[in-house]
Amino acid sequence: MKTKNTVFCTMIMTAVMTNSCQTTESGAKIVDRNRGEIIISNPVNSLSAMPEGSKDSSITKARQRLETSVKDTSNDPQLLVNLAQLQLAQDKIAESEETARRALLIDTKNNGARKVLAQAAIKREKHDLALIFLSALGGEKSKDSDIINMLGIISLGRQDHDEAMRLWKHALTLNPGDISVRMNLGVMYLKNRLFAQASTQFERVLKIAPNHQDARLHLAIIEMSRGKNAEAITTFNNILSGDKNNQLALFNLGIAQKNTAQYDDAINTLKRYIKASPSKTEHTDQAFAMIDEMNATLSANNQKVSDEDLQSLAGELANRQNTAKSSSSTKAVDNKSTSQSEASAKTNPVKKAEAPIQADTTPDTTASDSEIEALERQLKSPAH
Amino acid sequence: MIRGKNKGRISFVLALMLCGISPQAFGGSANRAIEAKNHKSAAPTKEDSADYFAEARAGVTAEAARQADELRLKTMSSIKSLLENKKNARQEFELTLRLGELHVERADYLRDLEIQTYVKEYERWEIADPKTRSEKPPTAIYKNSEASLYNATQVFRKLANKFPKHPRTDIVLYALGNTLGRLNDDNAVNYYKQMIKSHPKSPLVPDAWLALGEFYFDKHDIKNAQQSYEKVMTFKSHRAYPYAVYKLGWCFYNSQGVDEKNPGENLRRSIAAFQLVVKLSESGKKQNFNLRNEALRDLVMAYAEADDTEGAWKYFSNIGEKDRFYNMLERMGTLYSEAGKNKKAIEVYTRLVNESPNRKNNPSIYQKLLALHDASQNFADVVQTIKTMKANFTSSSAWSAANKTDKKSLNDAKTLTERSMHRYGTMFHSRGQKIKNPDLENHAAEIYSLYLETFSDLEPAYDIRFYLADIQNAQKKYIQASANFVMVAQQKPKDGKHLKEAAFNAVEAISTLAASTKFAPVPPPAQVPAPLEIPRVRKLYADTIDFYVGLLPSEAAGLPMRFTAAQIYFDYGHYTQAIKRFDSLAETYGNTKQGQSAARTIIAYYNEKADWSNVVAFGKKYQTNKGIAADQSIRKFIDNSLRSALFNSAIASEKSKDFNKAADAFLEFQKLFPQDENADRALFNASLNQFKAGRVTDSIESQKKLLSIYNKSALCPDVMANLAETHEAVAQFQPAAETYRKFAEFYPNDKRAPLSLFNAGVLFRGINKMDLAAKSFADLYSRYPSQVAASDAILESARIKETNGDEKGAISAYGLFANNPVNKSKDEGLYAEAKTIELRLKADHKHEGARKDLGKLIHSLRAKGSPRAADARRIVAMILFNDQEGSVKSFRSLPLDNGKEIEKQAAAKQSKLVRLANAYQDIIQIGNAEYAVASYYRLGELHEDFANALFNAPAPAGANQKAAAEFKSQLEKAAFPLKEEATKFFETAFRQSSEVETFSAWTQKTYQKMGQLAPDKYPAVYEQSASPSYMSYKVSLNRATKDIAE
Repeated sequence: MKTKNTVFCTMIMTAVMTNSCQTTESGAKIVDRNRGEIIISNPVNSLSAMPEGSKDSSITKARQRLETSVKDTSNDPQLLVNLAQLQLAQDKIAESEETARRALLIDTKNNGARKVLAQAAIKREKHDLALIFLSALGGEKSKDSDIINMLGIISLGRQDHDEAMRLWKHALTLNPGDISVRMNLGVMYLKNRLFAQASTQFERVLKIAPNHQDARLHLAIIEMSRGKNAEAITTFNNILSGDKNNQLALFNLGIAQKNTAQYDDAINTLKRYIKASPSKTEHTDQAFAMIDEMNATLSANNQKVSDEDLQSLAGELANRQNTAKSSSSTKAVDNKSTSQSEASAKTNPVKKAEAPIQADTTPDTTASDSEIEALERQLKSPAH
Repeated sequence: MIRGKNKGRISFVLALMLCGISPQAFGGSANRAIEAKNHKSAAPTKEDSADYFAEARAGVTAEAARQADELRLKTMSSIKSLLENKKNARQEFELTLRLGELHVERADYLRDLEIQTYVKEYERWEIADPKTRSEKPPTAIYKNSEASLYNATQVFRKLANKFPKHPRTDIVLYALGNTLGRLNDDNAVNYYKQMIKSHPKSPLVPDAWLALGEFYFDKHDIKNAQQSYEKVMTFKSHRAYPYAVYKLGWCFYNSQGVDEKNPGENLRRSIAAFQLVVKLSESGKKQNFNLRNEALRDLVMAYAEADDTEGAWKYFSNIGEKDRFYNMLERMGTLYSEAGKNKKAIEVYTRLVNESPNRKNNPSIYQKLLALHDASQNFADVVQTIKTMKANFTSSSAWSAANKTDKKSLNDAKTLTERSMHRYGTMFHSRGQKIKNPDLENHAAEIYSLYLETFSDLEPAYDIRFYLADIQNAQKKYIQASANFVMVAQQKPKDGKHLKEAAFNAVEAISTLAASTKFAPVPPPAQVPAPLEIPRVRKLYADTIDFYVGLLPSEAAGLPMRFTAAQIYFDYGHYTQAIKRFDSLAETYGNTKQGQSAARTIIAYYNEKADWSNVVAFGKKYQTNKGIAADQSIRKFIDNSLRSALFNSAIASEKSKDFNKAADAFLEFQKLFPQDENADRALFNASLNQFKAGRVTDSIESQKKLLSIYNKSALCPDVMANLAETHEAVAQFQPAAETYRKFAEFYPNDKRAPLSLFNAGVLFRGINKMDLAAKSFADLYSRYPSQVAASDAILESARIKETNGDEKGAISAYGLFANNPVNKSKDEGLYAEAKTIELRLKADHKHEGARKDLGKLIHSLRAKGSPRAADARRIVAMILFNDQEGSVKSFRSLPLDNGKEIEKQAAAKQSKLVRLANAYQDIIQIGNAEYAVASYYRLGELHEDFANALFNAPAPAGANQKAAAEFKSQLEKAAFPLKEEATKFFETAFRQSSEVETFSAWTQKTYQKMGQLAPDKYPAVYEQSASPSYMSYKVSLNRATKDIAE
């Protein structure tokens, strides 16, 4: 499906999404035929509504093809950089670094290779290392939005949110069509509850890449904050139909179901979320807390749910945590979050999260919201 | 001279039988015939008359003779059978006589066979290898024929004895005489005489006298022979009469000088006898013997002997036999010649050939003339005669036309001419050389030339040409000489006996010519812009050398020649050709002077042309040539050239941006000359070019090698610096950092040392080697405090120390940085200053100095036109904000719990609030968004807290309900504005956060608070979102990646 981007009229971007039942090959893959370029956009951590690059057969196929080509013509740095990019997109960080280094050995001025190494360093959370590469690529003075984007990510990692925002905004001036930058900005806005700004970014992303699942999911979260839970549920379910264990979709679906008083469904969804979680996090704690809260409500209505399930889930999660810990020495990514979770898991395996903000989660309120929304739709539908 | 043939001789024997002439003298004819081959002339024998008797047996084939003999044997057997019957005497006589005749006939037949056998054996012997054949020639064996003759004598004797009175006994006696004569038995004379005496009327008497004459003639008993022939001449009508006259003529001829008083008389008689024979032959009378030809021939001899030219001319002209005259002249010439009268012989022969130019025998006359001229030392005449012979006998001429039917004569004449040329050419040549007579050699050369013009295809031409070339060389006719030497060599290129000498002389001749020829000067070596035309002689010289070398490639003499040829091409600018030749010499004969000179020439040429690649190519090749390399001088020259060329070649490649080639050339240089003073630079340059060519790993290795091998090189600092940069360029940060650091340690005085330390620090930090990073930064600013980089290093060091918990160190470092005048009033300087304050206050909240400095810093940050200094502002704002946290806690703890003291309590709280508000106002004015939001938030909180405190304050103890209500109402009146104020602060905080989009924990706290205060406007949100860490991975759209797009 091709969509003409009216904002960036010089650029015709085609986002391609292929849907299938179990292996959805969708996500942020943009083909810029004018530039002869394919752009794959993913967050550094694996929490995404989009399929992992490593599960994308088309990328795997292309990577394998490039690996074969590279064996034959190993002196083509551009070929190597392409391969390194695909390897990185599939989280094959070590291979990607090796490939990029090969490219550098052929062409020491190859900025593509340096960019790959910078990305890899960021993935490994080696920000000082990444900065060396980014510095060599021009640093903040670079005209490449990718470079600025990475500087933003590093700043964010150093808790300098303002600097991160500044850099991403600067990146957009260099390349308004950079969906990664827009996603980062959107998420930042969302996290800081600037829903309008966040919504703008996600919508712009969807204009460029209509099937960008993450943009869609985050828009659904915003919708959810506006009380439009039904639409959000549809969106989340759509994502889950392609990736039944997608954590972002499960968690947010659970909340949306809870918001609409579908407690049983919400509890099941959150249980699924906990099962799918690789480790204990603040969100799994939140999930437990929400389940408790809903159980309490149901209990009040004589619909109590056994705590045994929850105990079992908590035990499983603790085991997964230990397994993750034992393998964490070889996996650089997500070390930080792992160690944080580990600490809390030791002290309180089923610690119930403190309710973040006292939200009105009573069924009445939710029902009332639903009714209002229904009325609004009734009012709007005929006219539109 | 052989006059007759075997066949003729055999026939003659039979004829003698028929005509009654005794054949006894022919017993040794075969031997004589052979022996006579080498005799120039001989007295006539019976054999000489054989031709005249040959007709009787002419045409008889061997087979017919054999069949006749078979029949003969049968007849003899029959006769013997008949004789055994003894029926009557008459039959016995006839049968016995016939038997005797058959024995004689058979003896003739057997003798024929014996002669044939002998002739065959002789011929075999003659053609056999003289070295292996028997020394003596075979001899004829007449055993069988003689046996048959003996049988005949037995039969005839028996018959003569048994029938002495028989009317035909004369026949028996005559036959017995003949048979004994053939057996060389002197009794033959007796039987002839007995027959003449006993049968004086017998018709066989003249025959008997003739036989006696022949017998005596053979025995050189000329007197008795003459008498016997004269007896025969008494029977004028007898068939043997002419023969007897003829033989009488010979008797006179052989009696020359017998009559001393009249020495020419017998010769005149002889002439008369022979003239008679001629006359008799013309008489028309049929005769058995027609001896005209013999007589005329012998007349020639006799006239010549008599030196009667005019008489002879007269006689022969009269009888129409001019040829005979010329024969006579020839004979006369021979006689003069034999008598040493060369001049007269020449005159006679010259007359002969002039007057009878087409005479068949002229070739031999010329041959004689040649000998005579030579003997008379008329060498020019010899040459002239040879020319005449060439004209007459080797090509179409009047002579050849006249004798065209006689192929043999034509061939013989040609052969004679060829042999004469060969003989006199070589003879003159040899003689000329021996006596050093150039004229003779000139004549020889002329004859050789004539020979080669005529007989170049004959075997001797090979030698002749060689000889001619030799003479021509001596005559300084070098080109002709060389050409002929070449032809000789070419003629037998494998094993010719003159091959080597001719080939060498061919070169030598042109060499001599070239040496004596003046040529236009050639440009200096290797400076001919375009090939010049090589002068003919020099080109010929080179070509001849090529010929020699091609023909005799392994001859040692060829080596200097080859060099000369190459040099010729080189001198005239035919460099491709020349170098090919020189190279071949150098490769093959590297251990020789020429090979080494060739190598030197090639390399010098390419040096001159600045063709470095070829200098390198040839230089390397010759370096490995053991022969060339063995010579120190040439080795040194090659090495020097190679050094220079490799370097220059590399530089040229570098200029043309062929970095690979340049790198390889530099490496090659270092490899070949590791001890050269430029070896280190070569390696360095190689590394630079490898880098430019994208061979980064190689470049690194080259640099490492240089540092390892040439660690004393002046280039080491550059190399090490470059190596570090190269490692960095390919993201090998560990070795890059180590090398940077090593550089600073090795070369502390190098201007790059400070930056190297800085780079080391940055890279060590990048790879999380914080200790080394800190050490590098620290070393930098401790060693090079005045360097710009030192300042940055201090800052980096401070950050690392802070990260590592070394707060004192961090304070010191930050302070050092901040106090550096260079950093004063700049963002980073202010940041460092803020950090020192922050860290000091962290250790001691009331640190006076820190507080003092904080005040100064705040002042400077608030000053008009102060720098942005965002980090410093954030730190200062944070410090100030944190400073207030205690007050905030204090404020919150201030109770409003005593109704009686409520005003006092509220005043205290308000007072506190005012102070806090002022403090937060100061914080907000610092200009840091995060802490501005935080301050607004805190202000909101404080107001909210104050409001809540008022709302919750208890009424004074003991107050009645009304008073309590009024008290409450009074407090609420104060609380509500505070509540609203709080909301405003929260809203301001959230608005500010949104407007400047500064995001921190305070932003979310603010939103939460807003959610509590205005849940409709700020609904509570639960969510799990992605991390804002999206990155784009870009790949080219191509065949490999198309699947991603599709």
